[in-house]
Amino acid sequence: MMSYVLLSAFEINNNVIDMPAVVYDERLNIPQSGYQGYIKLNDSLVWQSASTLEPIPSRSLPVASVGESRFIVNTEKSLFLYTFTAEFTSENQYIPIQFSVVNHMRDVAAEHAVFTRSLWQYGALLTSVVALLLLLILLSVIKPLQHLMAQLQQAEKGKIRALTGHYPKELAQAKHSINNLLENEDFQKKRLQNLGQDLAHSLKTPLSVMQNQPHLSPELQQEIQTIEQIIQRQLNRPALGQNAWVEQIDILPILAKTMQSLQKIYPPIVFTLDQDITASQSHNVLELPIEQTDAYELFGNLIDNAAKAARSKVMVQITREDKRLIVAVHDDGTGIPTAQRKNILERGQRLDTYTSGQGIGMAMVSDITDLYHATLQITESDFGGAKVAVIFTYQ
Amino acid sequence: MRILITEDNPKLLIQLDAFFQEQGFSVDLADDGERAQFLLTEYSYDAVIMDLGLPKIEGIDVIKYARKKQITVPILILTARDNWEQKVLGLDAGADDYLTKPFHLEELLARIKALIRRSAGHASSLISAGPIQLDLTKQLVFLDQKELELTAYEYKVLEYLLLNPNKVISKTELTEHIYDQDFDLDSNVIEVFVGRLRKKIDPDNTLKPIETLRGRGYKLSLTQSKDSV
Repeated sequence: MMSYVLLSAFEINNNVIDMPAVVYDERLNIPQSGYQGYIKLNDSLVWQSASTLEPIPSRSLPVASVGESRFIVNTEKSLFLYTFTAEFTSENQYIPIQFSVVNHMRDVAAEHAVFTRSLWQYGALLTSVVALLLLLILLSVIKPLQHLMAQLQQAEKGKIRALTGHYPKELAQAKHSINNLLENEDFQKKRLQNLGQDLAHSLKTPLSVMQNQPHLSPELQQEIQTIEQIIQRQLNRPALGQNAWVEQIDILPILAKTMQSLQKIYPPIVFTLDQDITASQSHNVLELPIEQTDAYELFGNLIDNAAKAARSKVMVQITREDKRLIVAVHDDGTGIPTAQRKNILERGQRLDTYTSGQGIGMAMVSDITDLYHATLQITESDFGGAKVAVIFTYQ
Repeated sequence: MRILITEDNPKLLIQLDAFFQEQGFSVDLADDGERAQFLLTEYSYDAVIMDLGLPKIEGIDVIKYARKKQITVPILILTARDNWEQKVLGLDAGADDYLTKPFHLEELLARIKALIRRSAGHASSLISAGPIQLDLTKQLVFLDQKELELTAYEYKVLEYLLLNPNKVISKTELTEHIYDQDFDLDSNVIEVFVGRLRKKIDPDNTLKPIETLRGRGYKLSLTQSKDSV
């Protein structure tokens, strides 16, 4: 464009060049503007712009034919060079005039640097704003998910039986479905329990009437006893499996109440409770993920068996280590022979208790121990009788 | 001894009634919780057999009600609910023993007698007072080691007096514990039984085992010795 500035200001009359010292574009007038203008006639330099303080050799200027332009980048001298050759008439002759504009790269480089810097700055700012927005959006999405995960973990531990709190509509359906599932599970569990109890009640009362008929043959007595044991074992099956997520419960009140009850039934026996806690945590040390009904069944049968075998005392010993909780019941009876211990510990056996005529208490203990992945151990007690221990391992 | 039996199964109720009457008990019956609650508050019993799954008021609630009213009669729960949680619940509510169905009548009888004996403070089934010894299990009476022949009602009177040694027992109370609910409480037949009992235990009128407190009732005047185990 600058060459047109020179072109528009140039005049030639009678072979005399008329070119003002100052042209329209100020950049060609101000020294050190980075721009220089040159006009050549017949390879001779006839004009240079006022901005030229250190002229470049005219031979360095590119040459162009009439009507053509030429652009050169001189990297050695950091120059952009442009030449346009136009033809003027003077005294009926066509005179070729070469107009050249020289631009120092440093200005372009400077402008380029400013542009690049601005680009980076605004780019970085925009990126930061977008990143922040994305982070905020992500947090708003993750937070309800985290809340959902936390509640699911609590439900898994049995601490809550329904998800609560407000969720975005995308998660609301999941919450609703999970709550329905939990509610249904509770309902089914209660229904099965009631069914079991009602069935037991319906069967056992007529069995009582039958059993106490006069002149009942021993064979019939035995059959009635068999029916009773089947009812007892099948209808009192542990509750786990009906409810996959089990609440942690404190077993100490269960043990204490069971011992108080057994004290009423066996008044001559002295029941004691001994605790040995070495676990590093100070709270919830006696909690187990076990259904309350199963806990009563397990400990009730264990302590009842011990009371029946005992001469004068039964001790319930609770040992809590970091990874294990052990409930051991000691009695001062005659103990359990080694051969019988193996029978009791073998899984899947239809077992009797270790003293006669006591129903299927140890079978229930074995069933419940298996179901909760605990270990049953029978050894000798320091009291001289048996020590039956149930060992729970924490994950 | 007077016993209250609550059971909603009519066949079992009849069976229990007949059995305990045969054993010399006076028996009152209730087939629902509401009636059981009423009878417990109206009459004094030596023992109660309580079913749990009762109509109108649950057995456990009847037990809780009785204990809240300071009715200390020994209660044995007789029920089909045999899981340990239910047993502990029942005993925690105030029952003193628990027997699950099906059961043997003899075992039920033995446990009821043990409850009565323990509630009277006797660890053993043999009670001694002066020269008299009473075997609660076999329902036999000995005077100076020799067996004494008593009629059923004479035995019942002596048994009640021996199980409540430090109490003044009114004629009404004695009648209530000897006879069923429908008996005429104004009858003087108790005086007749006490009189006959005195003659059999103390023919020479030297021992004076039973004291009459005029206008109040009767009291055992013999000192009980330590229970033999």
